[in-house]
Amino acid sequence: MSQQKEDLKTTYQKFASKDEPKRPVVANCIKAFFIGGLICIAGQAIQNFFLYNFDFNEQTAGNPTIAVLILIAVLLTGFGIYDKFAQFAGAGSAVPVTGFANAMASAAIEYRTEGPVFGIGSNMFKLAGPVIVFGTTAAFVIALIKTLWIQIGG
Amino acid sequence: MQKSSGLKVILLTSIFLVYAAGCQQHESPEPTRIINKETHEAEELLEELEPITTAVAITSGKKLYAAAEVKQMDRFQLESVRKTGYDRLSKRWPDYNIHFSTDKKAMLELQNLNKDMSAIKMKKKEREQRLTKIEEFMKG
Repeated sequence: MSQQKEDLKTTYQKFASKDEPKRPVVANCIKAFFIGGLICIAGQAIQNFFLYNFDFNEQTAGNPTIAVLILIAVLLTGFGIYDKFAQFAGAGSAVPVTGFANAMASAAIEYRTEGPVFGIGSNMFKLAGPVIVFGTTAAFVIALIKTLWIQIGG
Repeated sequence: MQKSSGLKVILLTSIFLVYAAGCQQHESPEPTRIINKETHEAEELLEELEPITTAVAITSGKKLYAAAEVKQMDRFQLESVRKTGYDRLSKRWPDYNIHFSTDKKAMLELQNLNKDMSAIKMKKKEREQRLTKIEEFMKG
């Protein structure tokens, strides 16, 4: 009986996968590459603006550049434009800092009705929280490896 | 559907335009004016290095300020480029206090100073002031 059930399951899966639309992985990668690159060009333009017009050098100009990019992404999320753009762009719009801003802002908008503290406050990091957790953990582990490497190597 | 294809057209056009602009031949940068023999020599010494495209240098007393622009792919080795440039300059002028940077802002400000110094007779105090500011940018 159980053997029969298993057979039925695999047959069904085979049958279903035949009609499933194939994910265009290569096309998605190319799209993400170009659109991610476009966002970075915009970032570079903003950085150059700060370099040419204000007293920032290459390193310190990074901070206001990121702030402006985040502001733009949050505004676009609020107006509902970023969603449509992200549907087309995929990972190209999720990987840069704009994707992180979008994750925070969209969660905040979604839980707005539940109140400022228990709604926005506690749910804002639902999507973006893992990024912070794993980002910090990964940074710690890599720093540890680097320190050990230098201690042994030098 | 109509709307999304319009978005696609806009995005594809902008991608094409950006890449076309990137492939354009770069206009050659404005040559720096020769202020004195040392700055000219320092600029030439730096420009001889393979990864450096343009360089600018200014001296003030026993201090030499220099900045350079590095080729795109060589920017991965910025630190070693800075070291080679610094070593080269300090070997040529061992008794000078040398400041060398690949920072874009330092480069821009040095170029502006170079232009202003050749155009007008600048007071030593003003020059020193501007150079101290440039030194700040170089620290980064």
